[in-house]
Amino acid sequence: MFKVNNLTAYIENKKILDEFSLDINDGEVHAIMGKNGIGKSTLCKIILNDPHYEVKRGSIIYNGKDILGKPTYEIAKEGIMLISQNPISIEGVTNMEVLRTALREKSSENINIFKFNKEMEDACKKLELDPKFIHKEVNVGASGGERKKVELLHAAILKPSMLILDEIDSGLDVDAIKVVANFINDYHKETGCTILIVTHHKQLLDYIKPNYVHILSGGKIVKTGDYHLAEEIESSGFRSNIIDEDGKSE
Amino acid sequence: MKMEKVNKILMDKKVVNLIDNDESLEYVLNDNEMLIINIFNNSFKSVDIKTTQNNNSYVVINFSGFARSDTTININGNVLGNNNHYILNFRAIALENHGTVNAKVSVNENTKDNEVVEDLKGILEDGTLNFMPILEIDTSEVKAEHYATIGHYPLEELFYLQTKGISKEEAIKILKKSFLFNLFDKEFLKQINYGKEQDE
Ligand SMILES: Nc1ncnc2c1ncn2[C@@H]1O[C@H](COP(=O)(O)OP(=O)(O)O)[C@@H](O)[C@H]1O
Ligand SMILES: [Mg+2]
Repeated sequence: MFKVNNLTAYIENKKILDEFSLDINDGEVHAIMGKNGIGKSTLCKIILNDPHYEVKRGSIIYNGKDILGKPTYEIAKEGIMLISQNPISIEGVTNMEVLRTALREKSSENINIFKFNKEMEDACKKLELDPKFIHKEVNVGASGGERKKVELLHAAILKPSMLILDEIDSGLDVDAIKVVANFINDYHKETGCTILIVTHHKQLLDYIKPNYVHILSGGKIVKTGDYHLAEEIESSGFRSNIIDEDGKSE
Repeated sequence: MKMEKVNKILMDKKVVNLIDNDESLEYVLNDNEMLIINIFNNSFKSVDIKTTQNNNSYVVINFSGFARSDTTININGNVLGNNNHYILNFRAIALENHGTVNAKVSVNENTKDNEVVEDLKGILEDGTLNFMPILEIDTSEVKAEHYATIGHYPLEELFYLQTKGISKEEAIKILKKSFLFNLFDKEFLKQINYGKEQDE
């Protein structure tokens, strides 16, 4: 169970989340939609305790533990993985080094190179990603789409129990969205992981059918529905009769 | 590294690899000579490094390491003739005390088609650094750039690595290594064999 309770958060004295709450049962897929600049990425980064944000109150419970404010790597070790909207690049550090270090910290056992290579190759094939990426510097010179795929490759190796996907569809062309969505669906089927998807577009949700769709506005969820809510948004926008200008649900 | 005007292949190439160097160095390059100096110091020493270039030559100095005690490093590049390249890459992590780096490049008057670059980067742990990049250029016929930045481990990179389940200490180790060694080729990295006794 993943549970956010009354989260209120600020960046540079600007209130972004206001008593935000959200419950996700294990294995469910939830989508959050909302206008640009409404606070979707803020929510994702606060879950991983990005130091840029100031949380005034609330709690985030995962697997029965309050993870709010815990060091980022401890939250990651609990099984939560964020794939951010714009994955950064790191010069001089290869994907291999990141994954090897992460695996070493996760378990005291030696890394099974054979298993590692097999998983890596399988994931690359599914993602239509050149296996050479594993030896490249993290996202250096990579396109937006390649970055998203590299991050999913990390997921395939590190096996999080909860995936937070912040606009994984941005920067992807139609074919790449299909590839990425298939990969996520397969991962979900194989692991039974919990997924929180943040997106602007219905298209991704055509491929990854969420159990619930939430609309974020005015710092909280103002409407929850099923997949059809995404269709409504797509056809009439966030400013339609679904939510008014103040973000209040009608 | 840009080398438009220099035909590297025709050059006489010399590579100097030094670990924990505590001696001052002086090199005068012949025409059509290329000199690469790689230095990694686990603890900086006060040294002078001086290069003198005449015509059609190429100097790259890659210098990195830890500042642990009060030191002053003077690096002087002198360009007397035409069509030379001088590139200095300096990386320092200040662990303790104070390190000063005076990096001076002089390019003579009435010379042309020279290119000089000084790129100095520092990361502060519990020490301090002072970078003094000085370009003494007596001609307008030169391409000169200098950068000097001093800061901490980038927060975004630390956050990113931690989101993979890597502890802050391990993340810093990773960033430290890339910061210091990104300058060097495989050959020199093998010699340094970092991660054994130098591991922080
Ligand atoms: N580093 C920052 N400094 C100042 N304001 C920020 C910063 N990051 C985000 N914001 C502001 O916080 C609000 C929410 O941003 P964000 O969570 O990125 O929105 P979304 O992901 O929904 O588009 C925006 O108004 C944005 O301008
Ligand atoms: Mg966003």
